[in-house]
Amino acid sequence: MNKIIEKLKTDTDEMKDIIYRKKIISKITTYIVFSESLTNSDKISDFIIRSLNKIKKVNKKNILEKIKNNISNNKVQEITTYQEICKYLHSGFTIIIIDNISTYLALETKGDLSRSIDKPESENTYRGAKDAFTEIYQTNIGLIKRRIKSNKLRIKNYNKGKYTQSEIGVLSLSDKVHKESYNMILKKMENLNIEDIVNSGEIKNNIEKENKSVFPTVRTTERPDIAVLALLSGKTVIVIDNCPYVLILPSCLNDFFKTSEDVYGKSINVTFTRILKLFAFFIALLVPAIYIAIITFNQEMLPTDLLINFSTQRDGVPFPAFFEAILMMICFEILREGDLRVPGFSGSALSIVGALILGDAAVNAGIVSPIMIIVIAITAISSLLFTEPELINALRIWRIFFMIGATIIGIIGVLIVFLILIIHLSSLKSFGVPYLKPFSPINKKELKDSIIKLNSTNGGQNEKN
Amino acid sequence: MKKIKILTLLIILFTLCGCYNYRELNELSIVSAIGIDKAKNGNIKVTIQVISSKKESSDSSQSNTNAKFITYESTDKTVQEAIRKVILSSPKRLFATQMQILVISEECAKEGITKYIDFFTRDPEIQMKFLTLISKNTTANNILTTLTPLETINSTNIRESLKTNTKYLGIGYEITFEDIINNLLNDKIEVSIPSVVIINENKNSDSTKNLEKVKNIADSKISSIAVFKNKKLIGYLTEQESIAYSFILNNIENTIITTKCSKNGLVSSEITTSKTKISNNKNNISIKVVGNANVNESSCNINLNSKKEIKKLRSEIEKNIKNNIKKTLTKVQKKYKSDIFGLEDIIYKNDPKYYKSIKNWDKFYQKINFNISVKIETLEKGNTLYTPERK
Repeated sequence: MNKIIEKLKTDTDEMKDIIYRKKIISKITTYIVFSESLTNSDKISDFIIRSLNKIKKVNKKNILEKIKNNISNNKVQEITTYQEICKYLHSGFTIIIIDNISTYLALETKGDLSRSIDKPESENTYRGAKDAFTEIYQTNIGLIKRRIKSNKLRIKNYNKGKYTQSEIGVLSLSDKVHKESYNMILKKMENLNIEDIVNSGEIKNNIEKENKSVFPTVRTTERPDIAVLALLSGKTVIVIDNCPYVLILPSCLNDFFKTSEDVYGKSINVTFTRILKLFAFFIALLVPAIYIAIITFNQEMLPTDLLINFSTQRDGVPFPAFFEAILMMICFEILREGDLRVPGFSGSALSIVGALILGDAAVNAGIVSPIMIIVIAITAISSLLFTEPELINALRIWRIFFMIGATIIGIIGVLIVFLILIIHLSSLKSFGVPYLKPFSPINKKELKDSIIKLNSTNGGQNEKN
Repeated sequence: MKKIKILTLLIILFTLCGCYNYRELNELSIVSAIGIDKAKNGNIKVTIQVISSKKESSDSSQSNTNAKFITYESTDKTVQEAIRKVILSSPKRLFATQMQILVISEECAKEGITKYIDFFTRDPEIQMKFLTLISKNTTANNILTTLTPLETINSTNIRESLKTNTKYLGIGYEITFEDIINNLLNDKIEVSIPSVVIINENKNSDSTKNLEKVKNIADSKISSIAVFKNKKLIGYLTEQESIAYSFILNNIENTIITTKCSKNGLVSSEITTSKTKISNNKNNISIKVVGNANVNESSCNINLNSKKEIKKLRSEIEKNIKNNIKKTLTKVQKKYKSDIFGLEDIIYKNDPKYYKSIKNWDKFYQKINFNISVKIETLEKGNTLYTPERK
């Protein structure tokens, strides 16, 4: 019995998944070792075993050369150590071990464990490309490389994780990338201190550690075209094995207002959509707070007829406005969370009950006023205009700060919290880039593609960092 | 650590101060109007109109006849005392920033309005943007308790009809409380306030029975302008004079002028724009009105194609306005001896040197000569050039 085989067997506790096939070629014992679940059995029997069968009349000296020459496989690797054997074995390679020879052959026989390239699910577009990243690292890199046919595309590879050994690629365009933030990212990647990586989120949390803010400084996307647009505008993209979401960094607040449609649309329409998004941003932040401030402190701000309306609707509602708003917000958040998790077939039941509870019944029961439903509904819908979940969560938290400010000192409280928010956002930096970039510090060139988009610019490609 | 300390201090700062001025909307009763009357023994009767924010019953047929407001009345020595008495009987806090109108009864105005309106200038909660009116031939209480058919809240009704009146007729004009206070504080202008009357007043005007009728409904109506002298009401202008008054104050946006075109025929024209400039040269005051008009109705056979006819018509309108203005000026000058046009202020601003030489304004006012010129620049002909009477 071969020593290597014995060691493998004891190390893996005779795991049934690993197959050891003994084959004797001209009286020389060889072993074919592979992991059944990771490999494609057709590939092994068609290419490896068949080619081995054809090999005849060999001696100990030339057997390795003969096998290497005759095997019909695209990737043949000579390895020498036990560690390498383990690594290749667990990546879906087939290892050929020959008795008394300390060089082993690793042959690529990976099985197809991935799904095909699908449509993006969380970032819809009506004119953009319809492919999305998958869980396979090579596919994801391929989707990007298919769009950038240039030598300038640099991929810096890392292998992290004790058990997961995940492949991480840091992509950039060498002549366009923002050098300062790129170096910062590489430094952080080298000092990355994580046990294991399953998702890109873990890397994200680790490299934006010093960002204590709830606002995201890294954008995630599942769309290759957005990733490529980011690369073209000098950003860095991090692709991680087993995760269909790639990271784009640095990302400023204004980047979350952009979509891939911005490149295809007419500039005036894009501007309109972005202004709409800006409105939605402020509605999601401010509307419940302003409503509370007006109906509990600054009633004189309303026109009389509207005040009478509000007053009639508030009649008989037993809770203070702040509590009423929080109650409705919690109801909505529960519904949203539920809608995300439940399987499709029970979703309709959820939405019917949700609509009834939130809409009609709560009003009829006199728990909330109809105006509050409108306020919470428009707020919730506005925050859903953004695709980045971290931004939605940030808006949610700041909305509550605003509401607390409004409940304590009315519209002045809203103003104070707003000032705090502006100060906070201006002090933020995303990998060396100011978070409110085109606006503060002001940059005339980039302003042309910020909230407004002028004709001459092209999807942020002319942006120079 | 330092950050945490600062944060705790901030939290304490904001939470321990309590919720200053916190008031839930359903703890407030919205005051829409206040009326002031004279009561016996020198007391003041205050009528407070409060909008009822009670939820309408789901039965829609019932909600139509419900009065959407109620009035509180109380009598005491001062306005503040009277209002305090109302607070005792109201379940909610009175909230007066949304007040729309203040009605002062004729009786009070004759005695002098300053005593009655002082309260409203001091209270910080009251915005001074509400409209002020004099109740003519009736009490302020009656005005505020009459149910009006088209607006459920009658103070809205009065406010809106004053607005339309200003826009399309020019009999009244929107004067806010703030303006009145400014005029009162300026001793070079006398106060003038539009008045409101009740038409078809009957004993059911404060119940929903009034709304079930289709004719002779009791309703409030904007009437002509009340003239003050030394802060006391001394008389009213007629409706025609009120229009002339609006012309002089440059308040006309739109009004109707009817002129003769033949022995029995009349032409009604609409003044579409108008601008007035007043200037003075010593004691000669010149008033220049420039405007445009539009022929709206004609009962005689005029040919609007002919330049001659148009010119004639135009000069008729000009003459009409001019006469009206002249009549009004003379009436106010000679009969009321009140300077509601603010002429003293105009002379003071235009020619301060000359103003200093005036010793007694009242005597000087009688000697003022008026120079009125009216010019209708264009006369539009309407949709048709001919009258149906044409043969």
